[in-house]
Amino acid sequence: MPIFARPCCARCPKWDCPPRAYRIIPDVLAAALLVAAVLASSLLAPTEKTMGDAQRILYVHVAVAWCGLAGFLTMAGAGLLYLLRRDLAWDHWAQAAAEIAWLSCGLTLVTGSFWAHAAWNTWWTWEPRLAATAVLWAVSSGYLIVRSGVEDPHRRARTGAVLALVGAADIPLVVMATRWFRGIHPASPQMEPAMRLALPLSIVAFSAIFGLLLVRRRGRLRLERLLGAMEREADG
Amino acid sequence: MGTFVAAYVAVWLAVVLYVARLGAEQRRLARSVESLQLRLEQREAEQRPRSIPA
Repeated sequence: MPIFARPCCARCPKWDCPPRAYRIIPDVLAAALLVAAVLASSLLAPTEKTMGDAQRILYVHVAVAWCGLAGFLTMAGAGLLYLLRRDLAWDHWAQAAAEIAWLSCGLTLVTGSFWAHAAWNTWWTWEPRLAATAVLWAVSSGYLIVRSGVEDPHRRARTGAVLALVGAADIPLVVMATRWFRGIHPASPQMEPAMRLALPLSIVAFSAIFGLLLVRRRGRLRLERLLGAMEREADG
Repeated sequence: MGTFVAAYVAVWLAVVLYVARLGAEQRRLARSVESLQLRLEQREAEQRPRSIPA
């Protein structure tokens, strides 16, 4: 017996989906986490002596960078699972994750540019970690462009999966760039206790927001595919 | 503070635009569902046997 034995709307064929009040719980939690993260990074965390308030970019920059890497890993993992099982459901996860990875990697570069301008007095420099992140963003852009040009869903999924797995080779470079190569990007800066609280809170909040976006996008892709199949059936 | 605010605004602008895109997609899918439902109802009405008057 389902816990929520009523449909979510008049047309809903599922009788076990939760009522609207329960379905928005994740959204409310993510929003609350985000408010807490913004307050912690702007009010709780102390102002850094050398960079001043510009140092607070770190809380959003590291959080979106983490989301970008997690999105890319999800995309490659879902691609691999598609190749192993040939189930398009995995391809929907891969596409949704690719969009999140593209958005997050782009935001990492933008927020990093703001940081670079404040810290190094330049908007961009070919520093190893910056270059590796730019490559990751370019790969996710290429992934989305290539996908949009392939009609057959299985061919599109196969091509995407191979691209995602090849592109995933850049992830260790992004993560380890500050240790493997000599650059100016900070590796693990010294932080005060309040800063150490604000940073993980920000990472969790952004992960919740981007995770929700990923789930929502994946749901729409699934619905789109189902609708396409039903339309073909109605036409035939 | 200006740089920090600018970075935050860039992030929120991108997230809001992505959410707006998801919303537009949702509306398009809802329209597709309605049109499909209408087509199926029409088809059902066409296939239903007409009652013969006595």
